[in-house]
Amino acid sequence: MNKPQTILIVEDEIILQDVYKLVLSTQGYEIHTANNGVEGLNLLKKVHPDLVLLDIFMPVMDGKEMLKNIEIPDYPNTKFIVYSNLSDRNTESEMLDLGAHKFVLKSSMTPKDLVNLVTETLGG
Amino acid sequence: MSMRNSNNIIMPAEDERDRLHSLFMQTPAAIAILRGEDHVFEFANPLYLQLVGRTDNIIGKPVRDSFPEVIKQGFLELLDRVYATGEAYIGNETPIELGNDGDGKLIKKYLNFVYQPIRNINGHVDGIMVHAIDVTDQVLSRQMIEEGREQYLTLFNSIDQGFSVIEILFDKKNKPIDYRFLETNAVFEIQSGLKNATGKSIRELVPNYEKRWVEMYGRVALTGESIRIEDWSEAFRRWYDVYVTRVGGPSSRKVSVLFTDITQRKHAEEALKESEERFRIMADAAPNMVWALDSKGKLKYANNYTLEFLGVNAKDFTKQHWLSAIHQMDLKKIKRIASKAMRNKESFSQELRVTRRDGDCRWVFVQGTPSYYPNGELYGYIGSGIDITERRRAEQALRESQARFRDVSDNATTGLLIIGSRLRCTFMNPAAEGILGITKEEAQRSSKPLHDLIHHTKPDGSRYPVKDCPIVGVLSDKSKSTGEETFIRPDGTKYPVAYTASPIVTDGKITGTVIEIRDITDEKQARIEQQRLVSMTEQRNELLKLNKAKDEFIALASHQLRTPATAVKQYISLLMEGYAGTVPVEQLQYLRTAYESNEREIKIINDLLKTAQLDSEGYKLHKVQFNIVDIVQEIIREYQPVFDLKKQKVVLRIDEETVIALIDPKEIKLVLINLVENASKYSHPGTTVKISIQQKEQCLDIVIADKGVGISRDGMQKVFEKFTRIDNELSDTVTGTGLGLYWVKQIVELHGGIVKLASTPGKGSTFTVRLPI
Repeated sequence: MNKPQTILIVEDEIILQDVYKLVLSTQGYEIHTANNGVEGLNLLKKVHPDLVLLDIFMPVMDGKEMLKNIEIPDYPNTKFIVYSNLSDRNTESEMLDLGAHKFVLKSSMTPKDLVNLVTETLGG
Repeated sequence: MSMRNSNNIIMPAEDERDRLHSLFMQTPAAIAILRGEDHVFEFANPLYLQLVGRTDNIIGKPVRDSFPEVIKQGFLELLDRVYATGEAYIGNETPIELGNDGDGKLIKKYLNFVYQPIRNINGHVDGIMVHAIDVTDQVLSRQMIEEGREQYLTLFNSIDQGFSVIEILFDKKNKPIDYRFLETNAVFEIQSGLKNATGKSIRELVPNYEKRWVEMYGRVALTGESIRIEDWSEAFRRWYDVYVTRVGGPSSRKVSVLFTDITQRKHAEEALKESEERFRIMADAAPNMVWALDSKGKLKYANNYTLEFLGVNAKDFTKQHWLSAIHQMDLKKIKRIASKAMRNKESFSQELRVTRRDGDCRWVFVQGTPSYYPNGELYGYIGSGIDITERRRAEQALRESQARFRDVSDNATTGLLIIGSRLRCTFMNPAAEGILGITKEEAQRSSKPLHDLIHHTKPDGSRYPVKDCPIVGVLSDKSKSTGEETFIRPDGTKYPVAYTASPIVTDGKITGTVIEIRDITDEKQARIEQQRLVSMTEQRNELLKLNKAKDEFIALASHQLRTPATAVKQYISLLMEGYAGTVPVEQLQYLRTAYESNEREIKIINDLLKTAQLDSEGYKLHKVQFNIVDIVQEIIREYQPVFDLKKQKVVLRIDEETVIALIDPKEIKLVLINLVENASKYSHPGTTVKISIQQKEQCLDIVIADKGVGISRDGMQKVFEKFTRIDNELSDTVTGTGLGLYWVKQIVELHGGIVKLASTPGKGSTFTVRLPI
C-alpha cells in the first residue's frame, strides 16, 4: 500500500488554492497549503512533501525569500515548482538557480494542465 | 783804570826819554805819542799797535793817514781840540770802529782813553799822548747782562703768571717762618693784590697767611727740590697753581715762585665734575647704553645699562676685554669710523652686532658726538647705544614678508590689487594687469579712481557710479566683500570677474582695500555647462526613476492583472471539465465563449507586459550557443497545423544541419514565430512560405519570404512600430496586437543584428533576420 504523495501548495490567493487543492486531491495526492513563505517553511520542515508549488508574490515572505531559506540538499526527494504569474526572465533564472525544477506561468495553465504537470513531475 | 798824569813832568833829556820809553813799552796800557798839529805818530807801544790793529809803520805818519776809517768818528776833532786848548780829554767806554790793516773790516771796540797834551819847555803844546785801555769785553758783557736783564725784566713783567722772588726767613731752629719779597712782577701784583711788596715780608702784608705755604717755600729753599702744586689759599681765597724753585746755590735762601690764579679753572673743573656727576646720574638711569671716550679716544665711562648688557663691571670696562663681544667685522668698522670722526671732530653712528651677557647676539645702534670744554678744547666723545635687534628683526621680517608677498603676488595667477583711501590703485600684480588689460603704471598715472577705469559701466550699459560699487564700499563698511561683477577692458569688452575685497586696517583706521580678482569667463561657461549637465543628470535620474517605477509597475501589474484572469480561467475550466457536475451543452457553449474571451485577455496582458519588459533598461538576453536550425524546425513542426489549415506550404532551405550562434533561444524563437505567423497570416491560401538559413562570414541570415499581400513603401517605415497594423486586404481578418514586428526588431537589435524588409505590394514580402556570429 503506497503512502500517498504529498504536495505543499504555497499560495496566498485562496480561490486559486482551492482550485489546486480540489483537482489534486481528486487525483489522490495529500495536499498541504501555506499562505506565505514563513508558513511554507514551517510546513516544509514538518511534512517533507514530494512536491512544492511555490508562488512568488506573497505577503510576509515571498517565494524567492522562502526558496533562499531552503537548504535544497535537505530535501532530496522534494521537487520545487515555481507556480507564478511573474513572467520576468531574470526572476525565472534566479528561481531556477535557487533550486527550483520548473518555472510555470499560472495563467497559461488550466486545472487539467496542472494535473498533467504534477503527474509528469512526480513520475505518476 | 784811568791814568792820571800830573801836568808837570820834568824829564832829563835822553835818560828820561829812554826810561819813559821802556816804561811805555811795558805798561799794560796802549800808549802812543803824537807830535805836531797833524798828530804824527812819534811813538806807539806794542799794546797800542795791537789795539788799533796796525804795525809800526804808522810811525812818522799822521793819524789821518794811519786811520782813515776814524776820520768820520770825531776823534781827529778831539785831538785838534786837545792840541789847541791844552786840555786833556778823557773818554769813557767810548766806541770806536777800527779796521785791521788791509782787512777792510771794521771792528767795534770800546776804549777808555786819555788825550793828554804834551808841553815843550816853553809850555806850549806840541804833542799829545794817547793813553787807551780796551774795555770792549767789559762793555759788551755788561751790555749783555743789561740786555739779559732787560729781557728778563720784560719777561718778568710780561708773563701772565705771577712771579716773585722771595727770600725765606728762618728762625733759630731753621724753621721757615716768614719770607720777604725781593722781586715781584706786575701780574703778581694783580693776582695777589699786593702792591709794592718788594722788600716787605708776607707776614707784614698778609697776616693770616697760612703757615703751610711758608713751610713749603722753606722746604724748597732748604732741599733745592722744586715743587709744583695746585692749592687753595685761604688768605687770598683763591686757587693757585704754584711752581717753586730755588734760586741760587745750596746756601741760597731764595726761591722763585711762579703761580697762576686757577680759581676760575678750578670752578670750571668743579662745575665740570658736577656736570659729569649729573650726567652720570642721568646716564645710569637711562634705559639704553650711554658711554664716553676721552679726548684720545679711550673708553672712560659706561652707564649701568651698558655694563649690565656686556656683563662687565665699571673697572673692567676700561680694560676693554669686552670688546670681543662685538662682532669682529663690526669692530673693525666702528674703529675706523670713530677714528675718522675724531680726526675731523665729527659725530658718528653705526649699527653693530654685540653679544649680550646672556649669549644672545643683539644689534646695537651706536652714536657718538664730540663734546667740548667751554674754551673749545675737545673734552671727549659722548655716545649712546640702542638695542635695535627687535626693530631689525621686524624690518627683516617685513622685508622677508614683502619679498614673499612679492614672490607670491608676482607669480600668483589670481589678480591682486590694492586701492587706497582715495580709491586709486596703489598696487597691482602682473596677474591683475593681465586680467584688467591695463598696467600698474597706467592705473597710477590716471587721476581717476580705479573703479572708473575698469568698472564704470553695468552690464545693461548704464553708468555704474563709484558709490554703488560694493568693492569700493569695503572702505567704508569695514567688512569683507565677496561676489561677482562685470569689469570692462580698455577696448570696451566686458568680462565677468569674481572678487574678494578685504579692508586694510592701520592703527584702527581703514587705509585701503586689498582685492583679489579672477576672470571667471571660463568658469561661468563651465558653470553653465555644469548646470546643463546637472539638469541633464537630473533628467536622466528622473527618467531612471521613472523607468524603475515602470519596471516595478510591470512586475506588480503582471501579477495583479493576471491573478483575476487566472482565477477565471481555472473556474471556467473546472466547470467545463465537470468538476461541478455535468454541464449542459448550451451552458458549455457559453462557458467556452467566456473561456476564450478570458484567454484573449490573458494574451493581451502577456503581450503588453512583454513589450514593457523589452523596453525596460534592465532587460537582458540569456544567450547560449544554440542551433538555429533546431528552432526553425521546431517552429515548422508546431505551425504545421496552421499552414495545413490554410493550405499553405513551408519550405526550409538550409546548407547545414547545424548552425550554431550565440543567441537567446526563447527570444529568437519568438522572433521567428512572429515572422512565420505573419507570413502565413498575410498570404492567401495555397501560397508557399520559403524559409532559408544562410551562413555568411560575419553573420547568418534567416530569411522568411512569402507570397503574400506585401507592404507599401510608407508601410515599411511604420510596420516595426508599436501597435501598428497596416491596413491591407487581410488586416481585418488578422488578429493581433500590432506588437509582433516591434518585438522582432527589438530582439534582433538586442542581439546586435538587424532586420531587413523587402516587399512589393501584391507580390509578397521577404524578411531577413541577420544575426552576428
